[in-house]
Amino acid sequence: MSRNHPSGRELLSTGKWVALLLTIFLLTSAAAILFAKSPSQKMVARVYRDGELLRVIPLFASMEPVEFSFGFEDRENVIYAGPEGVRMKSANCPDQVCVRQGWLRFARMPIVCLPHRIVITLENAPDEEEFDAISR
Amino acid sequence: MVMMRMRRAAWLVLALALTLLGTATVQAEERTFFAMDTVMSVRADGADAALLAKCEERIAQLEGLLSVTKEDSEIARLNRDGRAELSLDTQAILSFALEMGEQTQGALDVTLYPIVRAWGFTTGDYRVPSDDELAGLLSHVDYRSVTLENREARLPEGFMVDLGSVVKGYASDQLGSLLRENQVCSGIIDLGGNVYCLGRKSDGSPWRVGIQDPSGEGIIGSIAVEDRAVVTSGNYERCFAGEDGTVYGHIFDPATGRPAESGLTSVTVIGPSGAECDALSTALFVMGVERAAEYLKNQDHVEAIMLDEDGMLWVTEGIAEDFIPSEAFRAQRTIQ
Repeated sequence: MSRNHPSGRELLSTGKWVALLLTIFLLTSAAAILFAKSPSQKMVARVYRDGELLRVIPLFASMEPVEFSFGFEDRENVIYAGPEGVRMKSANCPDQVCVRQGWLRFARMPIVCLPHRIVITLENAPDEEEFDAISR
Repeated sequence: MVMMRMRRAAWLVLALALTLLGTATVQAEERTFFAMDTVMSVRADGADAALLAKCEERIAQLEGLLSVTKEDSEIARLNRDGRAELSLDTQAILSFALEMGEQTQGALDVTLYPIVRAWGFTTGDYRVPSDDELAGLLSHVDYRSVTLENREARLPEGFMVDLGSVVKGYASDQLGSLLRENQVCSGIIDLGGNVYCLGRKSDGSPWRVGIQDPSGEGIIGSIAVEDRAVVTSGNYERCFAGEDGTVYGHIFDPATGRPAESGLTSVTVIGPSGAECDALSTALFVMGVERAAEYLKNQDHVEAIMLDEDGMLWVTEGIAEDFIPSEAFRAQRTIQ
């Protein structure tokens, strides 16, 4: 019998090693899938005032256009949501920066109405991973 | 022989699997909050909620010291009384801002506050001051008139200081240090669009930062960076339309007391110090392309991307390879 040929005992051990390798691979793959960030869900816009969540707006291509008005004391912001996306349609804030920003396009560039402390964020946008931040 | 190979293979698979598992389980903690009149967020790999809460507390502490509108801040006291004992933070940032005034030959001037106030940018009561009023106010604008000895600052009668052009950059540097001291080496600090990238992403790749298009909803391009601040200034964020329809921006030329008309619409500065990038994004905007290019020739540690009114992008040589312009901004010149 050649020394290069494994004995019966070695063959059995080789089989155990194969099983061990497969088990390690399967277990870690399953764990990685379990712990990994869940895949993108439906795109939503979230509206906050001073950090408090006011509304979640699901966004989809076939949606009917809708407007939401958020009033607080003498402050008012009107948000439009439709198949084109989300934008601040109007606001009675003095600087109008939020209205001028137009459509909410990037997860990392929320629409902010500073005077009224309203923030609109976008989640699960197709290009969410494109930028880590937007300098502005 | 076969056994040895199998054992080696097993160790390799185990190492690979653990790496895979490790990569998959690194989760970024994120905290978003309002401060310094803007929305801020800190995202860091491996940080816990308590550390990010400390970041927010540090911002609140700096705002309490440096805000020009909070009556009990050190800067408000200095403006009111003409003199004030300063904390180490306020001393450091005021000293830095005065030094940047010197370096930029007055393009950055922290004593512009009387002018900014007259235009209504602090109150929202926007108006266009008369030439006479501006001339009178400009006699109270000169960073060289501020004296800072030991920990005491003094201002001549009628002078006022506003550190708004450097505060967020300084704050981002402070948060970067706080995260590093707590063994966090990967994260993004976004203080109202004033961005500081800590290290690289957890997968080892550089951060990709977009730069907002000053005239629209999109971006002018993006850059790949690591351990760098990326700060942009433009007159699009805070501006108002006068009765004649003219749009007036919030970046002022200290020489005229009027919104800067340098031919630039946006200036982004990239460098290791957030405070310096913050100061320079304003100063270069005021300078315009030619003076800015001249200034940048002697500053190897900072890079810049500038957009002029004709849509031309001016990009320094050191960042040109890492910058990807958007479709609409292909016209580009390199600053050597």
